[in-house]
Amino acid sequence: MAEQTSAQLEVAELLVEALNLEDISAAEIDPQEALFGAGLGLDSIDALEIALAISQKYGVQMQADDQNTRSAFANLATLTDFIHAHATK
Amino acid sequence: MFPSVLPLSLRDPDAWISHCTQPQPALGGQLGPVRCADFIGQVTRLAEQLPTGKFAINLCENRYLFTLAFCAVILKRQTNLLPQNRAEATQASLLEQYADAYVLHDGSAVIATDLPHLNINTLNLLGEPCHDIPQIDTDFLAAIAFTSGSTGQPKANLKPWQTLVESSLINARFMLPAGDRCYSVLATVPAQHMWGLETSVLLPLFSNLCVADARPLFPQDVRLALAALAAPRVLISTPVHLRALLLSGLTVPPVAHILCATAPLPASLASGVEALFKGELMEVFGCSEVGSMACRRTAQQDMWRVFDGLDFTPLENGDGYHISASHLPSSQILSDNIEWLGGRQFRLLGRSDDMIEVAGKRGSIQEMNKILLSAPGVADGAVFMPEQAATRNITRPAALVVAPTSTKAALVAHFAKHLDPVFIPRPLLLVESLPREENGKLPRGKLLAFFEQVRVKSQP
Repeated sequence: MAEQTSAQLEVAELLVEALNLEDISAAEIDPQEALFGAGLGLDSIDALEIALAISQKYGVQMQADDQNTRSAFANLATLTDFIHAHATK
Repeated sequence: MFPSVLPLSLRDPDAWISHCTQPQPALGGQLGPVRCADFIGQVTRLAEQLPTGKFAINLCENRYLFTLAFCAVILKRQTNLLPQNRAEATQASLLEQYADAYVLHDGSAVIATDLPHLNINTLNLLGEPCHDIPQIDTDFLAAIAFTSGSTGQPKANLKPWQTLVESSLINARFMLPAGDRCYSVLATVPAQHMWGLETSVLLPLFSNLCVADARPLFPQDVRLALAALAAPRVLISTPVHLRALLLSGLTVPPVAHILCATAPLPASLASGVEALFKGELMEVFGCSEVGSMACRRTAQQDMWRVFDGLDFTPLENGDGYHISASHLPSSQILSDNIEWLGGRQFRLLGRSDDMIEVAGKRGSIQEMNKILLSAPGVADGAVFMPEQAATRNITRPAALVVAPTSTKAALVAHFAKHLDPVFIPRPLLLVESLPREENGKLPRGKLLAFFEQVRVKSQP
């Protein structure tokens, strides 16, 4: 597994908290592993939960129509980059 | 005597039936409102170009193309198969089960190339409007809606044309505001799911609604999609989407009427949503077997009003109710615990212990336990629903498993093979033993207390 950055660990902690993934520790999430489908096996309801948690913590509103959002949800690394590019708080 | 045919739509040919917001090659990229006569013209042209066959697995994502496909399939005397998800494995298993079926899609789904399929967006459906509304035989099997049975084998719910038309007329009367005004509709639910089908596909064919083709997910998407529609508006959604909207802190355009179903809606959330949208929220009670059955204004009342045309008869063993209606192909058993109040009203005392709902899908805890115990290496285990935490949007089944020779990953893979992904237990915790009593029973209270202990320990 690739090394997590501290920013990635912070987002991983948000995911574990928002999604009730209490049997996975934040540090265990591989930054390059797919969040949806095979990887962590998340679904669209999870996407909604993640988007909500991100808007509350970082002030970023996600939009499904936006190609940037779609690529942001690829893995922990892309999600972290997206948040930091758009954070307003 | 019931008529032997019923029309494909009861709308005026000049009425707006849908609003296209996403350019589609099949429609020459045209955007904006669509009149019923243009819609019928497109349905007729699509029906002429459909492959021969008996069944079409309708996987169109765009709501307008789904509706076109749905009606064209019926017009060609084929049956729509509506699976709960678009997974390739689901498509393959349906094609195995239903000989003479093909996949109908709009280019957004992943289709295994060796399956028979047609992408509507490779056709050109533009042409003359059609003012003659086709008639459909009442007993024609228009659709089979699949409920993701927790057994791994989806349950088929048969929908003859009469059922769909009659229930739509009843739903319009009880779920929509009175009067003749045309409402713009936005739905956050998929057209293939029974709740989305009844409200966002069928209601616009029979009542004065103009439905947007989009299916927004995130609050920001919903806000923008609503703003693009003319007032007065109707929003069709679920507690999960509405809660996200309320918590997003976004300001939204007014919505006169909101319909919500698929999971219990707390009264506080209902009040919050009414204040946010400056409108009235009706929560609808239903199931895939019957469709919508009752509704209530959750912010103000806890009693449900059963729609006229549906009859609830107590079962002889007192363990539930038979639901029947002249338009349903067969009567259904309601296993939820309800208290009759007279005047066609009831109070919901509790959902059945066995049947659970996650993200609008119903599954049986008993079946999930069977699946768990059939996994290699599992000595003992229990799948159960934890108490709903107030801070959580969605509660999923959890599992405690004794499996010294297996691993968590192997167990999750075993569930994934047999269950819809939403039912895969989360968390799934491996333990040394379960707190069973001497007689082997595992009381819920004891199980939950043990679960609390274990999950605290498992937290990193």
